[in-house]
Amino acid sequence: MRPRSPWWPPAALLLALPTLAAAEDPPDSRSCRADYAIEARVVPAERTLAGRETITWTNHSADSVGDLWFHLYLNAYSSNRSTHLWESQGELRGGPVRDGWSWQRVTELRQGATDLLPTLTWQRPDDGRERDYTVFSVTLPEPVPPGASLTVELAWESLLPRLRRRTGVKGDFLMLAHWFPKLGVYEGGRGWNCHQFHARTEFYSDFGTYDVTLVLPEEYAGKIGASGAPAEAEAVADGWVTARFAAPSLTDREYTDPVASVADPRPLVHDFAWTADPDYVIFEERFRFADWKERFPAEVAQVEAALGLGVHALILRDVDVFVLSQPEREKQARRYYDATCAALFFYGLWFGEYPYERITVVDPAWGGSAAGGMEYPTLFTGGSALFTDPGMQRPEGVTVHECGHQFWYGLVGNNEFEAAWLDEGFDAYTDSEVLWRVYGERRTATLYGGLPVWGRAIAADPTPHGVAGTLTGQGWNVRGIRFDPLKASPFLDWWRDQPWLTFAEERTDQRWSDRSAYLRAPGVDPVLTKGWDYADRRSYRANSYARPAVILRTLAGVVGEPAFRRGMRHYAGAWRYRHPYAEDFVAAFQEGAEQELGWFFDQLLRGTGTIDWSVEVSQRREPIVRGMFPGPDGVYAEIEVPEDADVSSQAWLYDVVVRHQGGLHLPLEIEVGFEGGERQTFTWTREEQEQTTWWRLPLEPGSEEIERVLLDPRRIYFLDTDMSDNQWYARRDRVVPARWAERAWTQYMHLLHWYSSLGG
Amino acid sequence: MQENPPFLTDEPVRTGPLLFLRSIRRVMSRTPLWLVPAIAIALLALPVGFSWHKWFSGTVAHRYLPDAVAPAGGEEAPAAEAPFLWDDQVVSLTASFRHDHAGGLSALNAQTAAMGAPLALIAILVGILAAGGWLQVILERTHGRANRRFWMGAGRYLFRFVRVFVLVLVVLAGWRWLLYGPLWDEWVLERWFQLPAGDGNHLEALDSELHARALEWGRDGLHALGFMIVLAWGTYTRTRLARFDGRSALKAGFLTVFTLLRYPIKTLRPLILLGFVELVLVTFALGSLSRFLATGLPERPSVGLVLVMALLSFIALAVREMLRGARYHAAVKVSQEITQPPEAQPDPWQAIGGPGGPQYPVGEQEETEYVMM
Repeated sequence: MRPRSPWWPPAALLLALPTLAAAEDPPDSRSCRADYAIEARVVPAERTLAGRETITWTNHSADSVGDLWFHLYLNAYSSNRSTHLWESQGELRGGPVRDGWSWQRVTELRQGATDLLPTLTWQRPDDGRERDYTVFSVTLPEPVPPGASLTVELAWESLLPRLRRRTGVKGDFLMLAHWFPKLGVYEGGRGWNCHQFHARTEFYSDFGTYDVTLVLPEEYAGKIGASGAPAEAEAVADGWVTARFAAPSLTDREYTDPVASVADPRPLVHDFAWTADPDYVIFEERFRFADWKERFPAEVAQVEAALGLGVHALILRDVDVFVLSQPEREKQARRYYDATCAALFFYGLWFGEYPYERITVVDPAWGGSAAGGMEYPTLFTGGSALFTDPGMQRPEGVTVHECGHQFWYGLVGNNEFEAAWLDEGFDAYTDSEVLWRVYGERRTATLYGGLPVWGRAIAADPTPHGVAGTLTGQGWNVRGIRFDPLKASPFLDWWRDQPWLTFAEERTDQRWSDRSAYLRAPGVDPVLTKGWDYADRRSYRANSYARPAVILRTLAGVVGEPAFRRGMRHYAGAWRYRHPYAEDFVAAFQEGAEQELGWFFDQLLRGTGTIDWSVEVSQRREPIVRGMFPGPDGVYAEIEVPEDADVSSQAWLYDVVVRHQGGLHLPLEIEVGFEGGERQTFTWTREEQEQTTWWRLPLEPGSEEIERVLLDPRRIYFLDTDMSDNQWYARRDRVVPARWAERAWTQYMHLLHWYSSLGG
Repeated sequence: MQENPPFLTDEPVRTGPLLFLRSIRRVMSRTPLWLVPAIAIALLALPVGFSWHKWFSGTVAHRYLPDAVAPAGGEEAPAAEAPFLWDDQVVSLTASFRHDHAGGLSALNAQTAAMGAPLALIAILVGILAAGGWLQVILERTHGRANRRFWMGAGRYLFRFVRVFVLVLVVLAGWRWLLYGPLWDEWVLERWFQLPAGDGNHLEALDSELHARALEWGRDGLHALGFMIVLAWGTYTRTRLARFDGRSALKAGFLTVFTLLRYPIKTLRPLILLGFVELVLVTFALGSLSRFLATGLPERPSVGLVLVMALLSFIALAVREMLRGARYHAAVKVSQEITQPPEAQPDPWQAIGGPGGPQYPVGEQEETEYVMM
């Protein structure tokens, strides 16, 4: 696999090209098609799965392809020598993996009468790790010419894992994802893109259709959910239930996607996941665009205006929402549903409608949290807790995010191995926008035995270290045995904390949270880094999720909201059912927004530069002229000025210095506000910032005092590493210090009372 | 016996179910005795408040919009424009504020934690002194000059009660280790509930979160119950030491165990009811009021409101200090009813004949009658 081709063409060139909407079948030569027909039988008690599949692969590239590459994802959990577990240091979900191993073995693979199995070769394209068995290839007897199709038949057996990373078994709860042998993606001119399963990467596969027949013990009858929709009614016989699913559903396969620009714009999917649990409680309700439009008419009007559509021209498809809920969280099914609708509405509004008739939301069983928070076409998993409040946005947050993946990854099928930011980052940006609009700020809650109490203790508890820590009984180490006499348990913690009396309320706008998440690892890696090549997990998360989100939000500010909507919409439509990379996004966005933004993307996607602006302000009245000055005769004479001379008529002298630190250079707007209401605006250009790190604003002396100085007054930049020094106000806030000091004092009063009650 | 004496006495009273109310009434009238420890604790916490005020004053300074108010969110927000408010960052200590001042906040918290440990130690001392003071005032027959007697008692029992504190800590350490140490995992989770080894932390092998929570709550509840009983045991141990002027905290503690086992309802009932009063008055009533005020603060920031919240917190603290006194009053009264001085204890007057020789007969019978009144 060769490195990605370098950079994107300038917008000027792009603007001269015909729009992609008019394009023929995928011109990128890397969006082939793969159709699967699968039959599988599962014995949950034994954790076994045996299946057969028929794959029809169509070569859309200009190459003749002489081999096929497959993923066997479940082998990632076969030993602690797999690439996946090696990279995660033998741990998943925060604990060491010592049992519940899984494996996947191909028992038959043939093309027509030709047995391909003898040519099976294990491939380790990324790290050469010898005991990784997650990718193999077979050689074809004849190359597949451009435009031709090939059909192979394959049989396999699996031992399913104890629920690991989003797949496996927990009791009678089944969540089966990346569970069948699956083709990689053939990219014209580059060969097979079929990476090993890494600890930090997800998936990449071709679009197509899936016809899947599942055979399960009859206790699962009526409690199976899957990508797509049932193709026929379940049949129960001899203790087994047989369920057949089609993804996209048979109805969807006849639907014309109004957004996609491919030649045959009928919905496709690129993966198939399913779940079953005899305990599922099924909640079903329809997402209706009209209802949501009524709730958010201004949003709809804004998008219609940005896209140049007429009033009420924008309509999204109604969708059946199925929530497979756990009985103990049945009451949360409606919250899952609402959040799903919120995502379908806003993502659909901004990036084009969700083109499938159904979406399935999975609420994982207790102990199945490893299955939570993951997306598959037309099905996704959420995650919640027994005691939760809408203010915590749980499960709303994860639901909006995972449902949002239906658009970024599901419909625009980027390579999640090499460019995870194209879906995670886009989704992180959008979910914050949606959550803020629908649910407002997220409230912090402290959990006591799983029960939430709003707010948190603001100040740190007394240190357990040192003599005082020992004497106050906060931790003793006696011959290797740890004793914590005063380390309380949840109920005692609650009594000690007296949260209603002492806690500080904490609310967070999710959009600003993206920024702080990015700044946990700024300047470590460029965004354009392969999933397994980031310095560490923190850098991966920052650069795949938060930083792209911040970049997009900044981009919206730079180009303006309407142009941003147009750019994103154009990209989403142009690359629906296809496999874009960074350059494709940049090209499509510039084309849609009709702006040249190479300078922006170049710095922000390829570079690791950071930025920190700051402003310093001082102002004073011009002093009354004093001292000795030469007269006409050249003799110095002192000017007589009374000591108490009135200075109130003197002009104000201003000294406003703006500084720039870091390797990122972006044009900066500066607003200076005066007491009388006058505003002066300055722009510090990118080029000027490259020349010098500071700029003294050219302010003429004036009659009014500066009331405020704001850098970036429109708040379009979210990248600044410290935004606290981006503004200056003449007046100080008196309430805030008093407020938080009171909370800290109150907290400690009652904490110390707790300690005193131990004394007597 | 005086009718409704305005002071505390050691005169026995009936210890019925309403003893806790009588104890509150008796203690409430001695304002200085509970107000002074409350003020002491409040003053102890003041350095924390000051350091936070100083840090915030310096940090906020000219950098945030004065008197900013919380933004509207959700469907209340002007959604189409969806402004990215910055100026509310200090209103609720947002993620951005915490990030931008991460270093400063971290240093402030480190300073608070370092300051907190010695403050906690002093607070424990205040508790020990207060216990001695209350017991002296409650037990002494003399009337008047209660404040002076309070501090005299505080000093008199100081070292004995320090030993009781150490005993309490040791028992608590053992109790916690029993419930949260390896024994629980092995005996309860693995043997009783048959959960796989190593899964104890998440209890994920159970079939529902409710079951897992119930199991956790069971353990946490046991711990809390044991914790409270140990504190009650400490209270009765101190009472015993003070009543009988004992020297050995260990012996008093040992004997108190039997007292608690023999009279569990009579001994624990008043303390539980006083705890309930604290729960209702402090946690629910004052806590709800404080929460209500705090919720309104982001929309109506004012120093006055902040001061009201501070006052409310102090009132809550004072109530808690008063209830401490009530606990000791109840413990003394219960103790007087159910325990007698050991018969082996020599009567000092009999031994020395009293000042100037025997002046009046002091017999066994009289002492018993008094105790049983």
